[in-house]
Amino acid sequence: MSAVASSSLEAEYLQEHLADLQGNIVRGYRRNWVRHLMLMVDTPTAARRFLAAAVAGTDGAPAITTAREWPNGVKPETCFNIGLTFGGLRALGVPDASLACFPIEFAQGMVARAVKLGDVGTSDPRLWDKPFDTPDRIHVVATIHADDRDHLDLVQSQLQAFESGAAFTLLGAVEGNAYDGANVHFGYKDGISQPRFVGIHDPERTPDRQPLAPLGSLLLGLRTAYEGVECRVPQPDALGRLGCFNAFRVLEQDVAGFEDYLDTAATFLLKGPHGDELLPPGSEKKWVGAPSPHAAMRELVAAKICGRWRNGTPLRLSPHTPNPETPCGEKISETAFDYDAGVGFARDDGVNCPHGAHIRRCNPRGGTIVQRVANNTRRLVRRGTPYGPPYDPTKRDTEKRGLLGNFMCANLGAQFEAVMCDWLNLGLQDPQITGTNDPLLGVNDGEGSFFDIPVKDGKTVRLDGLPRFVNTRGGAYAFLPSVPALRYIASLGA
Amino acid sequence: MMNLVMPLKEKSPIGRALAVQAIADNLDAAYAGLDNVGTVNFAQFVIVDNNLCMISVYDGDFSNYIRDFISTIGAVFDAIVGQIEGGDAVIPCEKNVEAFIEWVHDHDMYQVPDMPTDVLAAWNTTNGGTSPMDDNLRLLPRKLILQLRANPNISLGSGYRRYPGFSAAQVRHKLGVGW
Repeated sequence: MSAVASSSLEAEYLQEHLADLQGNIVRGYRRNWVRHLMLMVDTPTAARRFLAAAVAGTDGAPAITTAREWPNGVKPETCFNIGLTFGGLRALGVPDASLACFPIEFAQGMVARAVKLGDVGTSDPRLWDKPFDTPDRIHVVATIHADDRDHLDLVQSQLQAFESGAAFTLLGAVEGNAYDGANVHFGYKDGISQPRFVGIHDPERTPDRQPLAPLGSLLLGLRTAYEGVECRVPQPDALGRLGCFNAFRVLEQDVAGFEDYLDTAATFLLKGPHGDELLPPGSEKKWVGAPSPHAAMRELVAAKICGRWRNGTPLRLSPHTPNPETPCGEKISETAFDYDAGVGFARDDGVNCPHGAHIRRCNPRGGTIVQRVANNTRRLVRRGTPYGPPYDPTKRDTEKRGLLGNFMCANLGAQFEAVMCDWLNLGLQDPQITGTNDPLLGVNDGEGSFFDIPVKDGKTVRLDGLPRFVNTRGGAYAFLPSVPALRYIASLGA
Repeated sequence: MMNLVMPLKEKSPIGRALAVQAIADNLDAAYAGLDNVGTVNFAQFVIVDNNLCMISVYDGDFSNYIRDFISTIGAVFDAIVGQIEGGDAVIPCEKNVEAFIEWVHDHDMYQVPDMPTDVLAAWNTTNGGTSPMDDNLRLLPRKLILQLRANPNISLGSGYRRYPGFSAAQVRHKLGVGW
């Protein structure tokens, strides 16, 4: 079967196949808690029986949550999904000829791709936490979502009780808690700019100016963002079609270090020649809470680093305040913008949103970039949940905290790795940032690393001594098979 | 730096002429593609014996470079690779992206590293201590001699660059000629 050609056919095809997709691919469950279990296949026959039972929701196994509409519109109390690493596919008995169809980056696994991903130095995989320090043993990443830990425990116990635990060894677990809605440890509202897909989202109902992404940039076997280009679908078709790849990452965040840097940078900018331009004196009095100039400048630095104020307001639309006034008092759009000139907009040459800001690097939207053909082709569905306790700035601590991130796409090499390697680090997309790394999660070193904030008249203010705020503590590349694929795998060796 | 050495399907003056023809027919498209890919500093085609060679200096990651090329001027690649031994298996490249990239990678000359030491250290750490330092251009160890025995075509380091560490777009930006 070749790729589904047109967008209307694609929409129809998707609607017919919602029950064939794992639900975490197309929707964020918005539950308070998430737990990722890293499992090793112990007894392949038992593991395959588990997959069969999980697909059918029988024999006491937790049922796989699919993408179909919730029964009666009611969200289930728990959601359960499964990702398989390359080693996991092999352990479950997927034949060599099928394994050979999987892309090389997935076959090699996240650890082997460390240099491309910036997992070097303090993020070196050899320093990763258990069980990620033995990546070859991780076969399955099973994910449970629920509103409380009791329900996480319940699903985990169902999994572990299956055939008296013969199927898997639990290597370890990581647990995240959305302790403050969509906000994450650095204090930003997260998960705002998700790709909208042809066949899922109505372009009339989304303010986002970025074109809808073809479903083939998320699911295998469909039209991709590159015209005429198809991703290889692992064979047999039942195994590969409608599958998706996930880069699962445990990203530790140095919140104290980040807040310290904001302090230093704010002091530096307030004293410098461009302080008044960046923060017109007195303007902060109109902000919600009327912060001091230093507190306001800290927020401005945080905004320049991210491309959004911490409340989610994009710098592109509101360069001077996180609380812009709008004609009718409505909330300003978080996504209705682009970086090049458009209706009602001049090109943003970095004075509003720096070229090097996190969101502009990771998703330059329609803005001019060096790689002319790459605009809108490296979209990623991001599902992240914070882990560790919230940071209290009045009580410095050394608790581990960060983000459990899932970055989903049809092609890890063309999307996830391409973003990580060329854009997030290196900054090849714009000559003004080439040679620098993402200020928020790039491979910065605190000495030679810097972040440039463009100001008027083509000048820039340079923030030196940019430390590394995010370190990788674990992760795995996983394939999120379709429901028919799980059935196919379950049937192997029968 | 990419140094593709691709043995021609037809090893004769006719085969070489067909390869020249395939490039001549697609030259404008190829150059437009190089512009749009945006990360290329330099590129040229040469024929050495019965091999067609594509030599280019590019910024960033190899896979991204080839992938962007495929989506920009896949048909040009198809025309050229159609003249090469074993090329038919990976064209049309748009339908065989992963296989095509691997095929190109296989035809890229082994490059004796001349990486700066910090990159080497990073490499070394993530590859469990199997350092490409062993193959350093300046050390000429036994491993390199064996490599040359197995594969006579190699690239000596990544070559001289007038603007080391600067991308094509940065140079163009500084010169004010658009990027």
